[in-house]
Amino acid sequence: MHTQVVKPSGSSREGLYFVLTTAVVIAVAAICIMHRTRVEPEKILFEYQISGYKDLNSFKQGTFVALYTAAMEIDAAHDNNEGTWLSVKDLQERFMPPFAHDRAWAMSGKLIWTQKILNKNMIHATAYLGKPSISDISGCFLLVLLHDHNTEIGEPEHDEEPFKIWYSNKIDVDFPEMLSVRSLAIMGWKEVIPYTGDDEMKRIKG
Amino acid sequence: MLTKNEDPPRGPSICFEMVGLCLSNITILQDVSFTVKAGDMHCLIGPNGGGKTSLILSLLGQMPHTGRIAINWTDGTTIGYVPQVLDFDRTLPVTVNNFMTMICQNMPAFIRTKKRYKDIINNALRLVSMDTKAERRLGELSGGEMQRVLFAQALIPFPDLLILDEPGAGIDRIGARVIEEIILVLKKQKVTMVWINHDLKQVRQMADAVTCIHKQVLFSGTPEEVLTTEKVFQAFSATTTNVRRDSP
Repeated sequence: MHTQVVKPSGSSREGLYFVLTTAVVIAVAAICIMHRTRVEPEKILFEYQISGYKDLNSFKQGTFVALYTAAMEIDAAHDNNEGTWLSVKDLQERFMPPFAHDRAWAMSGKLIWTQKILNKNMIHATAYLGKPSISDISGCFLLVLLHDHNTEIGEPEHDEEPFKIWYSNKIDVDFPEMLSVRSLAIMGWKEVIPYTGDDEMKRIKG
Repeated sequence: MLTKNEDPPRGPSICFEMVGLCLSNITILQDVSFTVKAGDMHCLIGPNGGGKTSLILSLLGQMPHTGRIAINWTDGTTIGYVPQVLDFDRTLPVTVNNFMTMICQNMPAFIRTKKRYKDIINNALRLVSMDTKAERRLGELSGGEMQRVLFAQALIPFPDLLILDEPGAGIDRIGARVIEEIILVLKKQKVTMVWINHDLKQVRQMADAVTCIHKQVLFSGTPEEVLTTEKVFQAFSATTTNVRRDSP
């Protein structure tokens, strides 16, 4: 025979269990958060580069994004048109921002675009320079496209984007003679680096 | 389960010593002391709100009581408990079988009932004449039928101590007779039973001992000794201030 003394139910023990359970949950959550938290990988920019996401205001960003899209169109058109580049007039007729004189163009400083074509044999290059008509909204944009037609058919033509977009805070600049990265950087141009969906995915997923 | 026909199991004796209970500064029980003998059917009677249910909840360790409640087990240590009512959502899609399965196994009842429990459940339901309604939803059962199901679950596993909180309240005549018959079988097997019962006639016929509680023990002893007309009248008409405590 054995005697069992009935223990009274006590809220103190339940309270203790509750506090302990809460502490465990908070601790686990804190550990998980600490474990999952990581420093946001920053895109390393060189001296001559600026971020299209952080370093440009909304008007300049509008011009930059439009120019980025237009650059891909110009590049594709160049491939389709047997090496001829679209002129500023062509782009305006196609209502292609930021060349077209639309409402966004007016709000972004009414950039006046000029073009230079610098084809050398099989290496085709062109640049579009946009100078603002309204000085306090935007500086100058320069779109540089380069195609090397020496590469064989089937090979990838470019390691990276076949164009670069540059920005200068000056409102009146001459058309650069040289379009290399080095010479543009020396002249004070800043290459605008886009913030892409891949960058965002990398930021989220690591 | 219910086939312990060999030497009848002997239930425990229970000793209540100066048991008190105070909830929200209201005294529910005070200095309750009495003994339930091993194998006895011990009935608790008393006016409504007298603390009978609180006392058996204290016995089950569900109340922050003071004093000492000691259960002196002889063999097994299984307690069966039939609550007064089962508070549940009547729209729940739970059948009688599901409910009984939940009592028996850890595996979720909606998956399946383990084979070894099927017969046990069926036997228990047959004992209370509810085997034909095993697939009925709990919400569709009448009060009496529900009470029978609650009684059946208290029989799994076979109890050494059975605590009954007015199982006959609101039950139909057939159900009452079924439960009474099972209680008599359990009594023969000397299962200790603590039974809250308002039917004094039934208490006189069946109980080995009776204790009347109204915050305190008003009287305790065998039915023949304590269930006199005078004492019963006093117990059920008295307030706590003018109750005369009396023990044989």
